[in-house]
Amino acid sequence: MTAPTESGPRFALTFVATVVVTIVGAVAINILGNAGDLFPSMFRPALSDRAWKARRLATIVRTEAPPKVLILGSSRVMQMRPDYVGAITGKKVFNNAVTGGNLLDCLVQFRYALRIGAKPDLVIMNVDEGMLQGDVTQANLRLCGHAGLFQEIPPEEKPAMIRSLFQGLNLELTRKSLGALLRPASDADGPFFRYSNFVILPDGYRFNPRRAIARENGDYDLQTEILRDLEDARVRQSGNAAKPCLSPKLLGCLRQLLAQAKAEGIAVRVITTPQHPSVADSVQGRLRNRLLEELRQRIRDECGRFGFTYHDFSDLASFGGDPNEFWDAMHQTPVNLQRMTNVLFGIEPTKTVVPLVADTVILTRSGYRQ
Amino acid sequence: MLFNSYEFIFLFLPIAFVLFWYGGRSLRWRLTLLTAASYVFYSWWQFQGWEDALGTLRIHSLGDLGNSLWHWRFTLIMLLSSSIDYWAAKAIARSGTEKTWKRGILLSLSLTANLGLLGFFKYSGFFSQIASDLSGFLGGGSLPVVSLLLPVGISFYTFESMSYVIDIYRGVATPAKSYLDYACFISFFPHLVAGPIIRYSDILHQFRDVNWVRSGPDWDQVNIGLLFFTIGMAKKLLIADAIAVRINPLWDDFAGGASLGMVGSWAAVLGYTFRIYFDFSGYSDMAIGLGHVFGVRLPQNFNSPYKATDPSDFWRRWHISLSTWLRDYLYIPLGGNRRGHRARNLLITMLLGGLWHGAAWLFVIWGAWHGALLAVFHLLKQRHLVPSNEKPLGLWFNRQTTFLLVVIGWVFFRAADVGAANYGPTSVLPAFRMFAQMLGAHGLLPDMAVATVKPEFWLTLIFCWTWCNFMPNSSELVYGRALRVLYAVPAGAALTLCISRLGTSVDFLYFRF
Repeated sequence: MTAPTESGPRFALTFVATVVVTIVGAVAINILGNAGDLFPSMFRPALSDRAWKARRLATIVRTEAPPKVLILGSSRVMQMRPDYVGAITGKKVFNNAVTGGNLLDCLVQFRYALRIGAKPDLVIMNVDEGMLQGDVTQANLRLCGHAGLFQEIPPEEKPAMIRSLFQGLNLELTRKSLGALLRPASDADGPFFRYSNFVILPDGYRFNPRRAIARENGDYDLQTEILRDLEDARVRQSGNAAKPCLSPKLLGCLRQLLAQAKAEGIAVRVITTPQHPSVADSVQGRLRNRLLEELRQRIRDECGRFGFTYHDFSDLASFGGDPNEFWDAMHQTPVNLQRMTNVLFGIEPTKTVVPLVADTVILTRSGYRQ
Repeated sequence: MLFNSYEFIFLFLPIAFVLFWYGGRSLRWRLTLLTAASYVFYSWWQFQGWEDALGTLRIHSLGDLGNSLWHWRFTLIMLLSSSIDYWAAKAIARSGTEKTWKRGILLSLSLTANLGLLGFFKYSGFFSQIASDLSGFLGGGSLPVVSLLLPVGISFYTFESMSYVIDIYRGVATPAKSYLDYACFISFFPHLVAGPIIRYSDILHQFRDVNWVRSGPDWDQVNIGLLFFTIGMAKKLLIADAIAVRINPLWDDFAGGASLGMVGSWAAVLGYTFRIYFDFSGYSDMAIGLGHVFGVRLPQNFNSPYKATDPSDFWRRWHISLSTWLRDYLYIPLGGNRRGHRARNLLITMLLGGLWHGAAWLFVIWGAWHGALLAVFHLLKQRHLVPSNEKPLGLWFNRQTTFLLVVIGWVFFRAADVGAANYGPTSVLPAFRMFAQMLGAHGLLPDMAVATVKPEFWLTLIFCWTWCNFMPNSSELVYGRALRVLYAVPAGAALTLCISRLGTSVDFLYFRF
C-alpha cells in the first residue's frame, strides 16, 4: 500500500527546487569564496602560483617594461635566477615556471603572455619526462583560477577541466569557501607570494626559506630529502595503474607552442634537467631514463622542425653540475642552475657573470617580511 | 551509465522523464521511448571525443570487445537474448496448453540460449581452468584458460528472460502483446543492471495499466520514487562508500599476504557485512525509486535482512527477487521439501545460487554454506530445538546467531575477490586464512605495515548494527507514512549532499555479477 502525498506536484517541485537551490548556492559559495583556488573569483583571487604569476606578469606589463625573456616549465627551473639570465642577455627576465608545470601550462602561459602584451624575445623552457605524463593533471586545474589563463586553455580541454572542477567540490571545500567569504581578503596581488613552504619574489624566482637557512647552517641533509622524494614518487606511481608513457596530447602542446613562437619570431631554447646521480639505479630513475630516451628524440625532432635549439642537460657532466648542489632528487640549487644557464648561452660553466648571492641574502634584500 | 553519476541525474533522467510523460500520450510512444532510453542507458560510454566514438564502430579484434563494460556492442547480446525468448515464448503459447514435445524443444532452446550466453561470458574461464587442471592432473598438460569481460547485467536479464519463457510454458503468464512490450520489460533501465529480478507477469499489467495511458505522471508515485532514490543514494554514497574507503586498504593488505590480526580481520569482515548490505540495498532502493518515477512498482528486494531470526528468514529478506526466483524455478521443480529431499534440494539450489554470483569456488562454497545452514535449521526446527522468537531473549539470540552465521558466509564471498584471477582449488585458501586471523591465530593486532583501523571506525560499525537492528527499512519508511511537502526540503538537501560525493564514489558491488 502506498501512502498519499499532501499535494502531488508540489512535493516533487519543492524537492527539485531544494536540490537546484542548494547546488547553485554551494557552487556560488565555492566560486566566490574560492577556498580551493580553482576559480577566477573577484572576491578572493586564487592563491596558486599559476594565478599569482599571471597577475604579477600583468602588473609588470601595466606598470613597468614587460619582460623580454620568459622562463617556462616546472619546479625544476623555478630557481633559475632571472637576474642572472638578465645579466647574460641584457634583458628583463620573468620566471614563469610553476609547480607541477607541464606542457599544457607552458602553452597556456605563453599564449597569455602574448595576449597581454608581454611578448618575449626569448623563451627558456624545460621539458622533462614528468611534464609529459598523463594528460590534464590536477595541477593544470589551477589554470582555471585565472580568467586570462583559462581563456587560453585549448577549447577541447575546457569541458573536461570544468567537469573536474565541479567534481572536486565537496562539503569541506564549501565550508572553507564560506569561511573565506566571511574573512577579509588577503593581499593576493602583492609583490611577493607565499604558498606552502615557498616564497616567490617579484621576478618569479622561487625559494624555500627553511631549506635555504638549513643549508647555510650546514643542517641540510640531502640524502634524506632524496629518499623522501623517491618514496613520494613510489607512492604516486603505485596509485597509478597506467603504465607511464609520453602523452601525445602534451607533445601536441609542445608543437603548438613552438609553432606559435616561430610565427611570432620568438626564439626558444628547450632544456632537459638532470636528476641526482644517486637515483639512477632506483625504480624511478630507471623509469625516467627509459622515458628520456624517447623524450630526447621527440624534442630534437620538434625543435629541429622549427629551427629552435635543444640542450640536453640530463647528464650533470654536460654542464659541470655538482651532485651536492641539489635540494632533493630532482631540484637543483641556483649554483647548478647557474652553470646550466652559462652553458645554455655558450659561457664556461663555472664562470660567474654576476655574483650569485645566497637565497637568505635575497630574502633579506628583497624586503620580504615573514 | 550509473545512477550515481552526473550525466544520469542531470541529463538522462530529466530528459527521459519529460519525454516519457509529456512527449506523447500513447502507450506505443511510452514503450518505445522507454526502451530506447534503456538501451542508451545500457550502452553509455565515457565520451572521449567524436574520433573515439567513431573508433568504437571498428572491430579489429576480439580484444576490442573488452573495451568497456558499458559498451554499445553488449546491447546486441541483450537484443539477441530478448529476441530468442520472445519468439520462443510466442511459439510456445501458440502451440496450445498441452505439454507437447514441440513446446519442450522450444523451452529447451530458449533455456540453452540463455544459459549458453551466461555460461560463455561468465563461466568459460572457470570451467576452462577446471578442464586445464584436470588435464594437468591426468598428465595431458595444461589447456588454454579463457578470460572474457562480463557484460553488465547479463546475470539479471537472462534470469528474467528464462522466467518469462518458463511461465509461458507453465501457462501461468500470458505472452507479451508485442515485441516492444517484451523489449521494454527486459531493458527497463531501473532494474536492468542489478535487479530487482522481475517477472513479466508482475510488470505486464503495470505497463498496460491506466498509469501509462494517463496524460501526465502520477505525482504520488513520483514523490515516492524521489524519496526512494534519495534514500538509496544516501545508503550507497554516505554509508557504503564511507565503509569501503576504510576497509578496502585492509582487504588489499590481506590480499598482499599481511596479517590483519584479530582486531583488523573482524573490522574488515564486519565492515564488508554492512557495506554489501547498504551498497546493494541502496542500489535496489534507487531502482525501485526510478520505477515509481515512471509509474512502475518494482518488488521490494530487501526487508531488513539483518533482523532475520533464522537462515530461512534471512533468505526471505535478502535479495528477495533472486531467492524467490531460485525457489520458483529451481527448488520447487527439484521437488522442494517433498519426499524427504528438502536438504538435498536446498543444497543444490543454494550451490547454484552461489555460482550465479560468480565463477569462483568460494562463491560455490558460500552457496553451500547457506544451503547447509538452511538444511540444518529445518532439521533443528523439526525437532523443536530452535528457541522461540516470542520471548525477547529468544528473539535476540536467534537474530544475532543468524547474523553471525551470515557474517561467516560473507568471508567466503569477499575472499573470492582476493584470488580473483585464480580459478584453481587454491583460490579458496584466502577465506580460511581470514578465519584463522579472526580466531586470533595471528595475534590480536595487525602487522606494523598494515593499514590501521581507527577507533571511530568501530563507532561506524556500531551505528550500522544499530541501524540494521532498530531502524525501519526503506519500504517501511516511505510506504508507511503520508508524504508532507515539508519532507521534500530535507530530502532534497540530502540528495544534494549525495551529489557532492559523486566524484569520490566507489563502484557498486553487484555490478560484477
